[in-house]
Amino acid sequence: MLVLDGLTRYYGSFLALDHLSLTIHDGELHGFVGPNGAGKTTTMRILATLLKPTEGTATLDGVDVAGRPREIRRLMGYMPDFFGVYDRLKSWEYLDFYARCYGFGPKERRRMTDSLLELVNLSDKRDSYVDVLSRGMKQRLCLARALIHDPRLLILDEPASGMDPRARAEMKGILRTLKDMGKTVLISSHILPELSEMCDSLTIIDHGRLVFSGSVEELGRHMSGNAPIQVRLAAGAEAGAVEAAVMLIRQYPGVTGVGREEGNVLTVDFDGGEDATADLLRQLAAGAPLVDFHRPPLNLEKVFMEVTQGE
Amino acid sequence: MNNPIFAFSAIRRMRSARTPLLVTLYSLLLATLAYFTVYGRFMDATVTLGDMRLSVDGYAYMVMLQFGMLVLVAPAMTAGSISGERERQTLDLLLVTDTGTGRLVLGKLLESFGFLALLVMCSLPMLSLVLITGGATFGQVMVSVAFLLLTALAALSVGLLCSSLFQRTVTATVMSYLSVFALGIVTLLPLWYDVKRIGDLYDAMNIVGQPLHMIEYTPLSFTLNPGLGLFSLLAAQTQMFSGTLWQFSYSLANTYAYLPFDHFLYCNMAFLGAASVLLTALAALNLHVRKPKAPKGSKRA
Repeated sequence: MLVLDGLTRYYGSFLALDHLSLTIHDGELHGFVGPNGAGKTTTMRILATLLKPTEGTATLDGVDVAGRPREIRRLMGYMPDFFGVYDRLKSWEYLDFYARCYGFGPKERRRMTDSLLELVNLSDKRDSYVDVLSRGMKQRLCLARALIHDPRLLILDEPASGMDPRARAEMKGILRTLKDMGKTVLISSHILPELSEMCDSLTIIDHGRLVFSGSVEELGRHMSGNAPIQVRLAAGAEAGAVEAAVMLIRQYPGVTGVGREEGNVLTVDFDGGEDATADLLRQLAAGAPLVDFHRPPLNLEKVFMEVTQGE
Repeated sequence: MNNPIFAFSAIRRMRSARTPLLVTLYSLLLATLAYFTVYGRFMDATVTLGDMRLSVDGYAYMVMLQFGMLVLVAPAMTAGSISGERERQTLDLLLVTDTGTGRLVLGKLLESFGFLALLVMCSLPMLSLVLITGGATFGQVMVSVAFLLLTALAALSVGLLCSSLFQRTVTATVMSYLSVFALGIVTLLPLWYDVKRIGDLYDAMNIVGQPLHMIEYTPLSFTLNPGLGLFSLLAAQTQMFSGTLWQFSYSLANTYAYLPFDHFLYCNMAFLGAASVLLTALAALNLHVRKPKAPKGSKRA
């Protein structure tokens, strides 16, 4: 279990991370979302033992990240947002080099290099020089490098940035495999929809402060509770029937506003719970020519903008 | 050697087309010098005593040439070793492994040292010509090689420390050269006393009975100057410069009067070795992640 407790980091007088506290459970695929400059990379670099916090602690299974970095490095694999590769080096040699850095012997290195290249779908590029690989391939190779010592926690800083849709889909597939392998994955992005599709839980930060932390469903409930309900009445319905439906809705407790759009579509601002929503639907269905009644799916881009806007 | 950084960097260096080219050029340069000063002279049927002396001089020139090349090449070789990783954005990937900063900088140092040692080893056949013609013993040739290797190691560790301290390779390279040349100049500052002594001599001529100002100590900084180490090596082995040095500087002559050439050389070599260890340790220490201080007036939790 990864626990961040009051993590704070200054760069000079600039406060990059402001008392960030959150918990990530074992085996979770946890998304870390925030606009550029929100403090995602700073948090990840602290967890990767590359930075020390000004205040606060981060512990992985009770081991202090800042206090016992060597121990943490054996438990954690890190993929930075920007990274370079060496020239005059083949893919398998690249992985072999990092495996040597972790002290593995020649037989183990050969075995793990082959299996990791297979995991990231690069077996056919085993003998290709690293510097001529495409960006997506380099990113997958870097992910394989982060996995070389079979870490329990993976810290991936914007692993899909700059990838084309196909490469993104491949990366998602690999991440699902890693989750199935029981790894805890902390993955950052500044694009919420990208993460919400595959993550179990999410943390949204802005200006170094925690804005939201919880499961994707919780975020959905939290935000969609305020989303207006769309009601469509039959196109041929008489004006009187529509007016009656509007009156019925307006008078229902919890309804704060009703808007009328073209084609007999009503938008209802309603902050009642699920039972109240069901009751409203029942009453409408009984007294109005109802065709459709639904809350539109959560627009995650909009949610992200809303959540980070007020901070 | 079980240092992955060393093994990895060595593979990459040896794969570069530049490496065999450099080794060939280095060997050719020394071979040309050796031909004109030693071998060419002995192709004639008659060999004079002057020719014998020339072979010893040829050996000295080869040592000097190598010293100059090593001092010029070494700082640049390591100045990019860590800053280059930083610029290539590969340093973080190394720092999060199990390697540790000590092994990282040591691997970088030894890889560059290995290449320079290869160059010095390539010069051994040319240096050893002096063993055929006479003038220096096998042991003396080995001392020269040891001195050259230690000089290379010290210059490499200056570059390594600068590479660790400065973000950009260009800055690290400039600072490495400045540091090497500053060491050469600053350690020679006691020569200023020679200028003062000349002034005292003039005073003594003008004022009868005025005692002449004498320097009666050995400036320690001289033993830290690799250039003087080279002069001592050649003076001890071939008597080259031994007379010149006495005439050139009173304070140097004074130094060598207290500390014979070979002893001076060993002090110099000990300094080069110690400096290499210290600078490499500092380079590793600089890569350690430090806890930042909270700015004044910041709220505490």
